[in-house]
Amino acid sequence: MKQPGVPNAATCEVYGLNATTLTHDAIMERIRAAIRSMKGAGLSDGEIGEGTALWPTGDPDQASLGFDSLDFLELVVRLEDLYGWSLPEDLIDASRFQTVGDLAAVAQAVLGGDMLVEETGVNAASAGHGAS
Amino acid sequence: MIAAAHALLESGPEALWGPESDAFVDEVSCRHPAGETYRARTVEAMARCSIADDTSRGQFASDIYRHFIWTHFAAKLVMAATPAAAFGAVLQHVKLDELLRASDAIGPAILSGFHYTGYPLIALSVAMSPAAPLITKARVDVLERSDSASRLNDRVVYLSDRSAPLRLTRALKQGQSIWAMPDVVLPSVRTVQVQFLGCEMEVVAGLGRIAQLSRRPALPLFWVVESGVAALHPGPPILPEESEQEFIQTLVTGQADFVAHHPTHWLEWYSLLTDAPLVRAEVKQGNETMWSSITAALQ
Repeated sequence: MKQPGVPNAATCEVYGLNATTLTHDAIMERIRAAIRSMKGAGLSDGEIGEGTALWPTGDPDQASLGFDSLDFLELVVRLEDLYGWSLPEDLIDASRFQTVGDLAAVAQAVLGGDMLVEETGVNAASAGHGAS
Repeated sequence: MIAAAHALLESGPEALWGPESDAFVDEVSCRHPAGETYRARTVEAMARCSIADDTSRGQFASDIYRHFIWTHFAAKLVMAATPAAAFGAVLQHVKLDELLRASDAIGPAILSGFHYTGYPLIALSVAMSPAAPLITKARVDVLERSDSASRLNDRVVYLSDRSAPLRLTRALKQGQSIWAMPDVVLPSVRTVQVQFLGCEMEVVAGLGRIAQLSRRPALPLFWVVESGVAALHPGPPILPEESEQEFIQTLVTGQADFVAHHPTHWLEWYSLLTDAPLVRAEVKQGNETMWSSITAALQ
């Protein structure tokens, strides 16, 4: 089984990427940089953490970026333009696609050629189930 | 009403522009639970914009209501029941020459008009034309049950999907036009306030952002269905270099000029009212009530 986050040559070719290994942390850093370019450089790592919700949650204890679909559009297009990432549209509609960590997990799976989509989920790799 | 629906269907798609259609519209018009609300609130919205005088607004609203019923029930019934024949008839009745020339000249663009009479027929004809845009829809409706819908599935984006703005932006960047009507605002969608015939109006904000991110222009569209013919007229392209607010305002100003000259062909006057979402919900509920009856004719 290929390790998540380790892109193979074929995947890199499909997505127009350089054949460099991106760890989950590196992916998170790129996402944080893109979000800061939209929302302000002052956002801390903690404010853009794995568990930070992308959308408004209504839960005062839940950190959230308060995105709407246009904010998210801008983020995805920036990631596409900056890094050549191409995130699957079907996954964006998945109900469990909620946090920055979910976004990183999808990017990691795409970059690793390791996409495994469950019916209601984002990917099994991010939940520690691995991928086949 | 069911008998009128059967008479319309049995006469074929050409009957959309004939007495069978008029009889069906009569039947649906008098039974629609939100008909009175629709007319009254249309009069109110027209008064806000100082369109027509006090004595003629009622007749205008009645004409608009008939166009609304024809669009939402007669046209959709025929499209759902006999999609292939309906498409053939639409091609005979909708003139796309100007649109196709403009589209060829400017390349992928946001094809954008308001909800004018017959818009599902117009959208179908444009979708099946060489322009072949990605069509936006608010929701699944009766048309999704038809064969024509299955032929168009890969060209339809539902605005309720979180990925909708991304799909539209990617389509434009990859060379495909999109079709969008910004005068109907869905719940939880970002809006921008613009001026429309001297009134404030909330419209969908996304088209400005999509234009900027895709770096593609909007091509305003206008049409009137009269005597069984609709010709699409494109306006001057709106370039993405404008700010999002300016982009949307320019788009709306062009549509406002058209509406001022053809007030009975815009079906969404009540969009101008502060309680437009409530009015829309009542009209939508009425539509669903009517369709639950009319569906019997389809079976």
